[in-house]
Formats: sequence, structure tokens, C-alpha cells
Amino acid sequence: MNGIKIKKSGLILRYVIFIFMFLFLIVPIYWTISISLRTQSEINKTSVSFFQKTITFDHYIEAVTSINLLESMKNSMIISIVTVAVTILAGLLMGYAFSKLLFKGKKTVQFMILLTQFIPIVAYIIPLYLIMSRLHLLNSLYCLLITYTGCSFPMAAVLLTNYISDVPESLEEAAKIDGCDTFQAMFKIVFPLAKSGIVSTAIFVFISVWQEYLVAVSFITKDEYKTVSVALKKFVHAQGTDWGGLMAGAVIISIPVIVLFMLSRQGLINNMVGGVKG
Amino acid sequence: MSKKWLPYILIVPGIILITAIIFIPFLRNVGYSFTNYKLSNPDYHFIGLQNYVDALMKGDLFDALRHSLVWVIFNIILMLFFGVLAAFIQNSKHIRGVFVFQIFLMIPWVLPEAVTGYIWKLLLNYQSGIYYQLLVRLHLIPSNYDIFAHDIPAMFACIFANVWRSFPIVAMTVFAKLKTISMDQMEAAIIDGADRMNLFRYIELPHIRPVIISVGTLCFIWTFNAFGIIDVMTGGGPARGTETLPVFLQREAFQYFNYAKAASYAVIMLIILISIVTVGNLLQRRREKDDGQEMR
Repeated sequence: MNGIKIKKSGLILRYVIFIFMFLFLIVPIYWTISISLRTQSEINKTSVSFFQKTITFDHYIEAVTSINLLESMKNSMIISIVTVAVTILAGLLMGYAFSKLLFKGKKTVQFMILLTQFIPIVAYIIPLYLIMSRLHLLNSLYCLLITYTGCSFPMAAVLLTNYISDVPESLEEAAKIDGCDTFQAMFKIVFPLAKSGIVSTAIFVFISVWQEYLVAVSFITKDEYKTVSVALKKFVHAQGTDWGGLMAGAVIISIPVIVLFMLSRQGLINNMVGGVKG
Repeated sequence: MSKKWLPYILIVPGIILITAIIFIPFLRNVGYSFTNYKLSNPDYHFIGLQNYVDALMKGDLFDALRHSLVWVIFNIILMLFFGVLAAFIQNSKHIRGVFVFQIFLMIPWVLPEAVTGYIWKLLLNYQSGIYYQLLVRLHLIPSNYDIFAHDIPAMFACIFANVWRSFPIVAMTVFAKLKTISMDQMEAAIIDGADRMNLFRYIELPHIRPVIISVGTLCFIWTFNAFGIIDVMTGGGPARGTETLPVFLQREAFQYFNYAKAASYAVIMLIILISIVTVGNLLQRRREKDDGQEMR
């Protein structure tokens, strides 16, 4: 709309809206970082100021040492990576079958996958809990691993099917003529060509597992198996909340997902936009 | 290995995952809802519809349903409002510095929901919160008013946290659609004398409506099932005043260990969810049909 001229009042109105939205977006992020860097005495003061007067890294040291946030980071890391590995592998195989092969019952299976996306986790969390309890898997990383693998599989399968069907048929056929069998063609030709889509799907799954709260808070009661989002609860005491430590912890546990997001920004946005259209 | 079996071998791992982790537990959930299973009563037996009758006779479920209704309606309205506004900001050719906005735009969506909950709790916290101070200075709340001690303000605190977390996805999807409007059409309308409101009403809004509906449906499903933000910010309080259906269910199952009762709430929740999505879909289809007839 470069050619369209607008009145000065219209321009001012646009900037007012822009600045309002910008502040709505940015103030919570700024405030988190700012509080995490203020000294305890400044946080405890009754009058708060928007810009900080003191700076300290004590809350970060406290979050790592006394709350043992690194242990929770390790738990979340293990759970997320294993979940990503299993869902992506199973999803790739299913995605290949869906997009490149014809077989009886394909429509039914695809419908089943679609159906699972409509069943919210609250509709099966209780039996899962009871099964895990019977298998003595509660209060271990396994119960979360298994649950997350199942929950994130349908979404991963749908995204991967789309990415694999974008790979042109001809390349794969050429490989087969050269003597590759189907598995070789899959792992040496098709999947490498869909690499960027696979990576963004993997990051998508990783972020959603890293964020998960309901299952983590319901299945795990022992401190040593807590994941990052549940571990933050340790900053909330009966006598009051340690806001400095809590915000430092929030920053620490957000870094991995923000970095991953920055690495695959466009791919993730495409996943989301595509997911909505589909 | 025969070629005929290959597709089935490829789909088996996925089928096992969703059957073992989603379908079987889901069916068992439906089964449990007809029993009197709880931690203190492991030798449960079939009691028919008793749990459902109890749930519908007692007020607790309706309280939770009412809270869910407020939670969902205001969330969706505000998410769409802020999301569409942010989409138009991104699409504007007149505003400078939009790219800075875009860099930060997706961050709320990436943060763990517990983090968002704690951030907004701090922002609105009694005395020390910066938004609390702002609200006091604007005389929107009295100076010694604890937002989290009153149920409606506490509910809106949670709603704003959730809106902040979810409006980016609306913004991105609507922006992607806005970009596809043809410049020729816009310019032609301007030559014909259309002002900004006309452009929005007759060209942009009809163009983005399908996306608003599909992203709105997705947001509805997420919001209806949302648990983390409320649990972190209010824990369902004060006096169960912000207890939406998922929080109500989680408490029944994992605090009181009434498995069968909670299972029946889960079934009721799913029925509500599916009915709303289906009715919405039907209305949408009818509307599209009517629009089609008008065109002719």
C-alpha cells in the first residue's frame, strides 16, 4: 500500500495502537528480566520503580544452587529429547506410508490420527495415571516419557506427512532404478530432502514437551524427577514468594526454548499457520 | 519382505503409540466413569449412571462450568481482538519499526505456561506488581485491593495471562492471510472512494474470516482445556472462584483421588467440547450456504 496516502491523524492513531500493542507484548518480558536482576532489598520495597536501581546475579546463583534447577533442566532435557526421537522416527515411517504408498485401510488410519487430536489429555489422564501406578512408573521419568510420546505423536505425524509428500516422486524413483530398496530410498533420499521440515517438526515437539504442565504436576511428586515448569513451584513458600529467584528461574528455563525457536523461526511459524489451515 | 506388507509395517509403531497411550486409556476412562472407583475403594463395581446423576444434581460441576464459560468467552474475544490488531500492525506499510515487534511477537507462545502464569501473577501482585500500581494510579482498583483475593478480578488476571500467551498465534495466522489480499483490489476500492473502515469491512474482513474461524476454533479447544496458567496463578482460588472444568477435574482425581467421579467429569467435558465445536461448524456451514445464495 505504498501508493496510498493517509492523513496525519490516521498515522498518529496507527502509532498509538502500535505502541500500545508493543508495550502489551514487551512489558511482561522486560519485567521478568528486570526483577530477576534486582537485589532482594529493592524487590522488598513497598514502592516499585519501572527502572531498576540495583543489579545483582544473586537470584541466578540461588536458582542454580539452592533450588537445584539444573537437575530439573536435566530431567526436562532427557524427556524432551527422547520424546522427540521416538515421535519423529515413528512419525517419519507413518508419514512415508501416508504420502507415498497406497494401501487398504489408509483412510481409516488417517481418520484415527485426526480423531486423537480432538481427545484432550484430561479425557485419558486418569487411566494413564492408574496404569503407570500399577507398573510402578509414577515418580520416574518413564511415565512422562511414555505419556508425552503418545500425546505429541498425532501432530508430528500430520506435519511430517505434509513435508514428505512435498518431496518429488521422481528423485525416489531414480534412486530405486539405481538399485536402492524402499528403506534405503527412504533414509538416503526422501528424509534428507525433507530435512528442514523434519527439524522444525522436531523443535515444535520439543517446545511443547518442555512447556507441558498438567501431566508433570499430576504424575510427579518427588523433587528429583520434577520437570522445569513444575520445579518453579519451589520458589513459592508458605511465608511468601521469592520473586527474584522465581523470575531468575523463569529466565533460565526459558532460554532453551527461545534459542530453539530462534533457530527455526520461519519453519515453526509455517507449522503453525499450516496447522491452522489444515 | 513382501511389498504388500510394507505400508503396514511402517504404520505399526505409530498405531501402537496412539492405541496404547490414547485410545485404550480413553476407553478405560469412559468405563471407570460408570463405577465407584476411588483410592479408598479399589474393589470397585459397576454403578451405572450414578456419577453422572451426582454430578448434575450437585452444584459444584455447574460452578466449574460457569467459570469455564467466563474463561473461554473472554479469552476468545480478547485473543482475537489483540491478535487481529497485531496482524494489521504487521501488515501496515506506514508504521516503522514493525520488525522489532515481530522479533518479540512469538516469545509468549514459546514460553512454558507456568512461566507465563508466574510472570502475570507478579505483574498484578499486591503492592509490588507494576500493573497493580498502574491500575491503582488509573483508579481502576482501590489502593489496598488484592486482585487475587477476589474471584472475578482473579479470573481476569488469569484471562489476560492466557491472552498474552495465545494472541501471537492469531496474529501470525491472520497476518499470513492478510498478505495474500491483492493490491489491485485494494487500490481499485480506494479509487472508488473507500475509506479505511470500508476497506476493512468489505475487503479485509471477508478475506480473513475463514482463518479467524479456524484459528478461533483451535484457540477455543486450547482454552477450554487450559490448566497450567490457572493452577499457577490462583490454584483455582480464592474459595474455588477460578476453578474451571480442567482444574476441577484435576483436583477431584489427584487431590481427592475420586478416580471414577473425575472420569465422569472428563466425559462430560469432552461431550461439551465436541458439541460446541460441532454446533459452531454447522452454523458456519449454513452461513456459507446463505452467503452463496445471496451472491447468486
